[in-house]
Amino acid sequence: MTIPASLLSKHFLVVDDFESMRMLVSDELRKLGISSISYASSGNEALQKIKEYDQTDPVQYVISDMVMENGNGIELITAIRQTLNKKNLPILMITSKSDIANVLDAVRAGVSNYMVKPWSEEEFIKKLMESDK
Amino acid sequence: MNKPGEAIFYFVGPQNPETTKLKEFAKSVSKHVFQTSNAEEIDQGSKQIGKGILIFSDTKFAMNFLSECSLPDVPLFKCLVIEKNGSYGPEIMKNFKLLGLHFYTPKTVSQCVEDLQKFLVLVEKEISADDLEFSVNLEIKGE
Repeated sequence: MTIPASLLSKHFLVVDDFESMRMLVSDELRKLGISSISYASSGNEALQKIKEYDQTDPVQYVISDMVMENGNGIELITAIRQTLNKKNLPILMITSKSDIANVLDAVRAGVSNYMVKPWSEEEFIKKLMESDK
Repeated sequence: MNKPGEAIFYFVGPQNPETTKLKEFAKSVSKHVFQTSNAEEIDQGSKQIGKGILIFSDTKFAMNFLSECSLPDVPLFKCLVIEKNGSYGPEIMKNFKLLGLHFYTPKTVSQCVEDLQKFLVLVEKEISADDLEFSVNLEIKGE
């Protein structure tokens, strides 16, 4: 599967309250050749970073966990779409099987796509590209 | 020694000189080495990678952690408990049906690293919790 150059050059924001999960996602991105990666450990911090980076190096893709303390994934999506008015920013939500019932809420809030943990490399690439359409 | 390919290491509990040295060693065999005491994080990361190696800083912490937190998919995890005094290690492993070794006191840090190397060999051989008695006995014989 060939990844478009336009995707490889994007600035990604990886949001998860667990450091190891942030690192696992960024490892996958780096394996694909994506090097511009920022991190946030909560929805609130993610919003702050998106605003800050808007001045210099705007975030062009968000990969976020669904359940987090201090601003969960659905609140983050809502804020990105409504408060920040970023209707076209790709947002890939990562969820666990136990939280799958909340996916509908994420879709209503405007998520681009979702992926269930644990994910395979093939699935990760597929979802990454689908969300970027 | 074969490298534990895709294993993720979680150091659980307070840091001490032994865990610091073991972490250095773990980083030489895996790029996934983290410090946490969050069971959910351990569960998620281990499931993503497929193999989780938990290194507990001491027996008391291991007992409390394993009693209070549920790790739903126990066979996924391989645990190692640092034990400075006493001999609770085998008991913990049996109680929680976990594969693991433990350190007796007094051991130097380099001996701890040697133990971790032995432990990783067992992990690489995919020894399961069913072989628990074997792995514990193996370590006791070595002492």
